[in-house]
Amino acid sequence: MIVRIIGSIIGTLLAVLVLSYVVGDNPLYRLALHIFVGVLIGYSVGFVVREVLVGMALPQLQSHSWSILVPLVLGILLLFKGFPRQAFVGNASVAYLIGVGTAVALGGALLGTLVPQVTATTRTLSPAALAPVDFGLLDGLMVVLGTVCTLLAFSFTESEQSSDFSTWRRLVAGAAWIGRVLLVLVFGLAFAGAVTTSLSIFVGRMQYFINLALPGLGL
Amino acid sequence: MCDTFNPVGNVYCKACNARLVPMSSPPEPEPKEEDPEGQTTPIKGISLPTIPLEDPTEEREKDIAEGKDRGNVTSGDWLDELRASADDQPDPTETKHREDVGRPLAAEDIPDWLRELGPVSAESQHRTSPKAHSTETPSPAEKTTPGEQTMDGGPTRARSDASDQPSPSRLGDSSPSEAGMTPAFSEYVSLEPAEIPDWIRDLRPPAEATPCASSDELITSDEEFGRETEEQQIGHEDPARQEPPEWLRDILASDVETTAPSPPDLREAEKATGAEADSALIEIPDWLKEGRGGGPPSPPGRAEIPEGTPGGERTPEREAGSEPVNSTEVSPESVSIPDWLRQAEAGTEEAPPQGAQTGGTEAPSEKAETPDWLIEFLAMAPGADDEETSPVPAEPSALGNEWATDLERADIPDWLQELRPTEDRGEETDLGPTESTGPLKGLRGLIPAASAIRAPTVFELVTTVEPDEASLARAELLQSLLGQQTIPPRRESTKQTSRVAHLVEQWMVAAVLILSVVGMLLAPLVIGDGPHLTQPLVATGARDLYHIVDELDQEDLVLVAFDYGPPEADELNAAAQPVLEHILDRGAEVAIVSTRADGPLIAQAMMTDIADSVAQYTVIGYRPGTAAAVSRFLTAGDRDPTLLLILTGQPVALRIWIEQASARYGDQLPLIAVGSAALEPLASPYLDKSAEQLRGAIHGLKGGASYETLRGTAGDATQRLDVLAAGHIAIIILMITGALVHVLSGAKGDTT
Repeated sequence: MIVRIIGSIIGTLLAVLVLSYVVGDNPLYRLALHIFVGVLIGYSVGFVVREVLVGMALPQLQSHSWSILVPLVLGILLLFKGFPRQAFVGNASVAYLIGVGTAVALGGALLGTLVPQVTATTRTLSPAALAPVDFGLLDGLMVVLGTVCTLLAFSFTESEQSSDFSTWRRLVAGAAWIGRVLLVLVFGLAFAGAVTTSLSIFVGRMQYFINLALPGLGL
Repeated sequence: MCDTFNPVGNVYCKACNARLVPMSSPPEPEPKEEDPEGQTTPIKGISLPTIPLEDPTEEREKDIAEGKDRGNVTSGDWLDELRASADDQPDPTETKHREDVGRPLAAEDIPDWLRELGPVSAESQHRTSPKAHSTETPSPAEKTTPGEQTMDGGPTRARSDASDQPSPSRLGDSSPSEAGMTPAFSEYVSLEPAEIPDWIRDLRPPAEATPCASSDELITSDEEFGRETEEQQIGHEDPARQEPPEWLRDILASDVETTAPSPPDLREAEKATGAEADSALIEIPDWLKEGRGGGPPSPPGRAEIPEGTPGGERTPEREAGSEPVNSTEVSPESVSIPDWLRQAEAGTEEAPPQGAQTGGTEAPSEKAETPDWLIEFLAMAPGADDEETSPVPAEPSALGNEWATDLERADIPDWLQELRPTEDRGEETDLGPTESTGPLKGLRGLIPAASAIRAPTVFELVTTVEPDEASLARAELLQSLLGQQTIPPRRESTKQTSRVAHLVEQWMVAAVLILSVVGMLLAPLVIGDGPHLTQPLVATGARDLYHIVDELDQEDLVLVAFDYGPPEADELNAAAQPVLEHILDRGAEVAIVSTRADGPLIAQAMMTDIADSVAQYTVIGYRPGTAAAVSRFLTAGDRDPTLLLILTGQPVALRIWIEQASARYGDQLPLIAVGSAALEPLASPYLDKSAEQLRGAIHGLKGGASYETLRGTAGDATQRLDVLAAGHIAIIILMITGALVHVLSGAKGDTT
């Protein structure tokens, strides 16, 4: 109980320090940021040591699973990146991480995002996909046109003979303009979501303070 | 030769047994024997055999020793010793040669090759038969020639050194050169001049033909060079000398190059030869006569270059030290011209005068070889204007002037006259005055500097275009704008005012948000359960999510990706809690994994609050490596999950989990997501019915409230939804107020 009370007090104090940014950048706000960053890094290091080294590597070494030596050695070499003169020792580990990570990310993006999204875009005009939607055909057309216009919004080049195809050029320019409008709407929606998220967090913090204060006030 | 290096004393090569010393080469005396004082004569890098070969060598050494006794030999001058020994020791072949000279030659003594050269009189055949020379054995002095060339650096220097130290033999009437080396030329001197053929006379050294006043005059470097040249051309050398060994030949070549005769001496020899030639009678053989008379007349222009001109080419005779006698210098009175010569001269008289003055049969060929560059050079030389008819300048000598005066002026066509360089027409070119001062003093045709710098300092713009009134007005306006005072910078007070206003705005926004949020949170406590600002709407995604979770049973495994931390916990906890409670209520097994280090901590805290027991869930923990970790985790799992629930507030984590799960399981694994409100626009494409990569999803407090509505409960999401709505209303009010203030302040600013 005491720990919970101390924790609540520390949490409340840190929250007030962060909210002090209302009056502008001040040392209290920066102090709170430094505390958060330090605590986060310290917690992460301790957690990784406990979860990865002690929880994963040592049990495998004890079970004579020597395959763990390779990632263990690569991980140890990666520590040399913290020293500028010996940083080259960790190049192999970084290369391995980048190579594997890029390969996995590319495979996942291709199979998990690109192909399914292209397929979904082409499927929006199918009767099966349009059936459960209230405005089936209109919704499908909006999805297709919105996707095409948004992609055309990123066309920054023109053909040298574009003057010979003024109609086509105007069409592309109009579609790109529509795409840019859709992008603005999406960004506005994302910003609204970010504001909503921030406001939700603020509400949660205020409720936390009230929940702490009400018992103290006898309410 | 096998090129094997042998000791100095070897006569035969130790490798191939080849003879290293010529048979005719006399043995060299030991330097030690020559220099009793121990001063050895320097030997220039050769290894002549010093071991006596035969008995004559011993005799020769004996003779040398005797010469020393007589005091005829200067200490250290071994060459003089050899000459002295040669004088004292007559060669038997030399004796035979003199005998041959004394007797008349028979017809059979003349070789065929000489007989074919042309008709020679019986007397000349007798006296000039090369047989006498060919059979002549080299004199002792000639025998020592190789030694001289190799030991002392060549014949010229050896003789010069010898001349500096007069020996008794030279002072006598019979000098070594006269007695031993030039017997054949003594015959030539005794011959009548007209009987000497040209080819022999050309080969004749001038000094040999000159009457010798003393032996010192004979023994000169030029004489030696001419004598040796004659010997080489006539072929008087013995076989051993004509073909020396390679090692000696190389040395000879190097020595000859270093001791070449000087040109002035050669000219003196030429003069001597020419003086003798004045009194000589010429008998030209038929073959030579045919060459002179039968040849085509030489071109006038080319024949103007006489032999011996400075610009002429050097003939072989000149290079060898002797020059052919100029026939023009021979007085006709002193020459008894034979019939064949008169015919030849008659033939030459028919030719142009220039051709008659060529002075020899070789002149046409030499003139024909005159290069063009030389002709052009001579034409551009000073005084070339005087010779307009010939590209070759007149010879400065008297002979050349005679030719120039005899030349006829050629008619140059007008078109060719125009092509002449302007330099030739000096009178037509105005080169201007000669520069009298400065570094260019003495030069003509210079561009005066005054004309180049004589430029006006002020240019007057002459234009016919007059500007109209509109242009002048615009120009005046531009000038007035440029002349206005610039806008002064803002004062510091203005900055402070704006900063205070900015702080006021921040305080106002914060106050409005805090009052709205805290007021809505405290409102239920004050006014009780009053009207709500909003009602949770059940969206399609929440309903789908609810149905998927509601279909779970106790055997199913739900994999929960808990990828959010404390910053997003206030929002996502309210949204994820009803879903996790629903899963736990269904009795499904829950496995929690996170790619964030702080994820398991939040998961553990939530599951502790909502779970009835720890057995209902499993916290797998943290998996570092983002996409690779997700792929590895999905691939290496012992048991495939029935449902994948993604709890994240970041779009990257959502995309990674969707992509890797789709890549690993495709459509076989249903994916559901609970995200923040900011994630909704980015998750919509995956949630679309056409894609259906997300079977269901809820976002933020609104989504959580919707799910609670579906479940019939009112949790934190529903309670906060009104507060959130109040905050949105406050934000909207602030935005409108800010816009109005901005419009009003902006209008005020514009007016100022």
